[in-house]
This record gives sequence, structure tokens and C-alpha cells, in this order.
Amino acid sequence: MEPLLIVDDLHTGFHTDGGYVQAVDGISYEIYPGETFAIVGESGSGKSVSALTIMGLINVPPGEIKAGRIEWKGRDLLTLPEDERRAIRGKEIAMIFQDPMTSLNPVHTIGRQIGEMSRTHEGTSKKEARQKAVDLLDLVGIPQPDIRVDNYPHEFSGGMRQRAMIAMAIACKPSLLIADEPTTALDVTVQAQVLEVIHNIRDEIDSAVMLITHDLGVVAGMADRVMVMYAGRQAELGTADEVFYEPRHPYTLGLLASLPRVDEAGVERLVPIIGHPPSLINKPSGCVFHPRCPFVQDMCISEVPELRVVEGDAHMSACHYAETLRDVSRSDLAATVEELEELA
Amino acid sequence: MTATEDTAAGAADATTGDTPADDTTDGTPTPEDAAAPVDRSDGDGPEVVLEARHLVKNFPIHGGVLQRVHAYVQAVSDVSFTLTRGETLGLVGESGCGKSTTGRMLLNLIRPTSGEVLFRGQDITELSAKEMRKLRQELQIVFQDPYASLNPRMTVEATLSEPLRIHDKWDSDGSDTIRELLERVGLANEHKRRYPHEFSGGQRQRIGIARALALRPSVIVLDEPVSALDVSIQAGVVNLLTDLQEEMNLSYVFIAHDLSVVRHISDRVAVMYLGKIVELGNRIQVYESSGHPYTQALLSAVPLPDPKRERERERIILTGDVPSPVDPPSGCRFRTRCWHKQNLDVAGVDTSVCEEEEPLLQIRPSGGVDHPVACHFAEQRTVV
Repeated sequence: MEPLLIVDDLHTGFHTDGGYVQAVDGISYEIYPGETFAIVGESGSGKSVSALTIMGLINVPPGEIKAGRIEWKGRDLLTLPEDERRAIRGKEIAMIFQDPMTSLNPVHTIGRQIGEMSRTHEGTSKKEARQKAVDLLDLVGIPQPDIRVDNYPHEFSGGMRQRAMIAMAIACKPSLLIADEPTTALDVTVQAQVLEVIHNIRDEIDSAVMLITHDLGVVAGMADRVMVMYAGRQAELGTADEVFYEPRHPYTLGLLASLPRVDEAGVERLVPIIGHPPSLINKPSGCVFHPRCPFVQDMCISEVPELRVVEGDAHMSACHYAETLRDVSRSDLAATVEELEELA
Repeated sequence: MTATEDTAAGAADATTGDTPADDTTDGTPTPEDAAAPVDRSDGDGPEVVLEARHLVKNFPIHGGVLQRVHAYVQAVSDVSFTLTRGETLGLVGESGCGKSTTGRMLLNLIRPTSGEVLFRGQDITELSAKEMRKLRQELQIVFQDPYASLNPRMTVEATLSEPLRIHDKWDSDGSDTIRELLERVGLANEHKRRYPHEFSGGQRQRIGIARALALRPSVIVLDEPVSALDVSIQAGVVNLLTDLQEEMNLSYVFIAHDLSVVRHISDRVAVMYLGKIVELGNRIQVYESSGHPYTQALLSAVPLPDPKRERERERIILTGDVPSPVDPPSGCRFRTRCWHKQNLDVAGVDTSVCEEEEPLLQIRPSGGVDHPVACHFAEQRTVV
């Protein structure tokens, strides 16, 4: 199958008073039709910036896309004229954001904002656009859509606003839906509702979903493939099962061990990742994770590890010693981390 | 007494009338039973340090030209529980359920509309500001946002010495005390000359914890203390809280919306919905054999970091939104979204009692529930 989107060696940075922030630092991946591709990482890992670069929503300056290629259905998005890019944005690639209150215009009705999509991209009439908005609200599970269509955003609850955002994003049946922390602002029962909507929509309109989140639970339930990011670089890339059950990067291993689980009472102590995320202005030499890595070796300090296939066809890791992680259990990791904590 | 005061199976209070002891002893003691609070009346159980009795908080809503009160937000409606020495009580629920308001009433930061907060048997809601100040040494709080809760113009040293100065405990040993506090929370003594902006989120939260510890309190209310932190940092702070509790025999009220963290850290858990406790038990009871349909929906909604289990799981998806606390539903406040009631209705069971009568928080032997649950049709279920 041909990939929909090819991101190749992308570098996005920002000029700030403090120096040049390397937010996305050479990442490459493909997204295939119909799949859910998750990007996981903590704050500052570059997961949102990489999505905004695809959408063409990075302000230049202070932003700068230094190098790389973003190929959408065979066309290089980064060299495309702005009007052609605009035709793709919203129609072929749509995005939903974390905070539905700030992404909706408070002075227009929900229906008008959803209808605007098809009026802009498909030139439908006002009346048709309204009817389409009603159908879309129905699709995302808003009760009484024919009444709700005339409501303003403040009359919607948080979960309903996020559904309205989804309705707006899928109005033109995009081939790729980018969801940036779509449920982070929502309560857990509402999160479950919204994730279900996204999941069903994907099948309904046969779109690929790029899901950006810090929540490994959400990833486990939604993703076909997962990319783990750390400090602007890729740590690991593989199927959900590979990344969760056979992690091959110490950062992924650390993330999984640090999580308390609602379905397990057993563990008495969580295993933290020692230290703090690095500055994106002065990144550590070699592997960006080396100052926090419990298994650090000399080579990790001197040489930047390449993302490479370490197992099977496509399970990739950017760790010099990825293969040795095969034999590391949770208790091994816990013991090593505990020793290091005592030293510190 | 109300059923809320007694919670744990196996530790059932046989001396207090309305709790049938037979229904509460299940005969299979779990390791966690030891952590459950016990009867206070016989004198040799763990000491109760803090007790909430029928706490109610209604916030007035002003409106119109004259700014008259025209309605009340019923934030907390009749909440009772106890906290024993050295234990952690988790208070979970979604936004607007009243968990933070409850936490603040425990410290008298918000005065309850009615009800009592007893600290070592003394009602603190009646105390004058001066008397309360004395007690504040014993009752401390750690806030959610480590960026907003530290004064940006104060060095760490100033932040940590302030409580000591206010309570006349600052003396020549002061700087030793500060060094000790910093070391205790995993920071170095040289950090004391720095300002909050020089620290990461996790480090700031450690400073907030050190400040709460400065006066050697016996109770700390932790209001979402780790929810603003990245997961890798969160684990370190959770471990720190556990260690401190052990070293200093602290009692925690741990308020959070993250059910996984609450399970990890709590001895007992109270689940709140729309201003009421709907379920209360030790963590095994609440997480492995929950009895309230809301707890069950909440647990089933938490995504697990386990793709295979996620693919197999059947979720209980709630419909609709949380009703307004200004005008909560009659009877059971959860009934408008209750999946269990909907199923019973379909099966032809008469559920009019849900609408007419408020379910009390009590043990429900008929549904196999061995701890207090506020549901007329409670049924024990294992969801996760």
C-alpha cells in the first residue's frame, strides 16, 4: 500500500531570546490509509510541533523549517504555493485540538462553523451546509442535532464541544485526521465517549488518524502503530503490541514502568525516570536520553544513535543497545533505577 | 452512626447497631484489611485524626440588578468520613463532583454551610481565626499547580522559612531545618537560594511538599498533587509522598481524578459524584469489587496501557452529561446517566425508587457488596 503521508528528516525550530529551540530534530515516518498512528511523548517532546508543521500552521518567523520533506499523496507540501496548501488543509487533512473552547468561535453558531467547512471547500449553499451540519452532529452522537445546530459554543458541554470540533474536522471527509490531545481536557467518562466517536468515524469515512497524546492508555486502546518521541527525536517506532510488550528503547521502558495501573494492585513502588527532560536549546551530546538512561554507556555520550530496525520487519529504535533490552525485566529496571537514585 | 463512618470489611464495627456484622466479615482477610480504619469506640484501633460529619457546602449564585441570591450551587451535600493516623484516603471523581471543596472544608479554608470537621475530636469549623492559625501547624495542603502556588519573588529559603516564622519556630537552627526539609524531598541545600522559575515542575512540587512539611503536620490534604506533571516525573513524586508518610506517620487526603494514581497510593477510597460520596471502601473493595454503577463506569472508562486487554474490553459508556449542581436530580443524583437503571428498565424492573428516594451510603448484602454504596440496586461487579 502506498503511504498517504511521508515525513522525511523533518527539522522544525524556533528562534527565541534564549536561543534556537530545536523542537523537531530530524524525524521520519509514514502514515498509511485507514490506520491510526499515535505519537506519544511528554511535554516538549515535539509531538505537537510535528503535526503543526504538516498542517502548515507554524509561524515563520519565529519558527523555521530547516530541512526535510513532507510528501502528501506524492506532492511536497513544504514547497507547495499557499493557495494549494490551503485547499488541502481542512479538506484532505483536518485537525482537532486539545481545547475545544478556544478552537470554536464563540460568536457564531455551531452549525454555521461546521457548515463553513463545506461552504469553503465544496461551495455548497447555505441551506445544504446547515443540513450537512445536522447530519454531522448526528454522526458524532449529539442528541437532537436539528436543535443543537443553532446553539452557540457556550451552550455545549466540554464533551459536546469536542464532538462539534470532530464534526467540523470530518465535514469534508479528510483522508487524514490529526487529533492533538483530543481528550486531555475531558473527564474520563467523557473521554471514553469521544474516543469511541473518533474510532467509529475512522471506519465510517475511511480516514487515517494521527493521534497525538501523552496518555499511554489512550494509545493502547486506539493505535495500530506508535511512535515514541523524546526531546524532538524519535525514540521508538513499531506496532502497538511491539512497543507495549517488547519495548526496545530505555525511554519507552521507563515510561511503561513509571505508570501506576488501575487494574493492578501489585506494585509497591513506581519506577520513575530519573532526572529531568533536557533543554531543547542545548541538547545533550550523543543520545538525547543519555543523562537519564539507567543503561548509559560511553558510546551513548559520543554518538547520536540512528533510528534503525531492531526486530522483525519494522520495529525501530534509536538506541545503540536496543537488542540488549530484550532481556531486561521490570524488576531489573527497578533495581537499576533504585541503585542510581541512591548514588544521587 | 451513619454507614459512612465504618467502611472496611473484616474491620466491621459490631458495636454500633445498624451495621450487621455478619454481612461485613467475608472471612478472607486481605493484606489491605490492616490498613482499613476500625471502630473507634473500643479504643485500641488506629487513632482517628480527622473526621468529616455531614459536610454541606452551598455556594450562592447572585443575579439581577440587586445581586440577590437566586440559587445555590450544591457543591457538597452531606459528606461524612474518617481519616486515621498514617492512612491515605483517596477522594476521586470527575470535575465538579465536590472533591476539592471537600478538601478545603477539611482545612477550614472554606467554611461549610453545615456539618462539622473534627480534628482529634475538636470541631474546627467553629474556631476563631486565631485559634485556627494554631491548628494550621497540624493541617497542611499541597496544591495542584506548582507554578501558581509558589511566590515567584520568594527564594526557596524564604518560602520554607515563612511558616516557621509565622508560628514562632524560627531560631538559630532554622537553616538546619531548611536543609533537612530540602534533603527530605530530594533537593539539595544549595537550591535554597534559588527562585521558583529556576526549577522544573516536579522540583517545584517537591518545594510545595517541603513547605507543607515545615511545621511537621499530622494531616496533609493533597489536591491533585501530581496531575500537572509528566508521567515520568509523577512517579518520583508519588514515591516521595509514600516515603514521607511512612517516615512521619502522616495522614493524607489524596484528591485526584486519576483513578490509577489513587489506587496506587490510597488505603481507602471515596468515590464522589455531584456532591455526594457514592461508594467508600478499601482499595481492593472499590477497585476489584465495586458496587456502584458510577464507580463501575468510571473504572471501565480508564484506558489501560495494554493493547491486548484494551481490544478485549467491554466499556460501560455513559450517555449524557453531568447534571447541574444547582438543580441536581431528585432521589439518586446519578439516575439520569445510570446505565444500570437503564438496563433494569428495559428488563421491566420497577426503578421508581431511584427517582423518589435518596439511596443511603450503606452496605448492600443483597447485591453482594461488602462496603458502603449509595445505590438502591447495587450489585458487585469486577470491571478492571
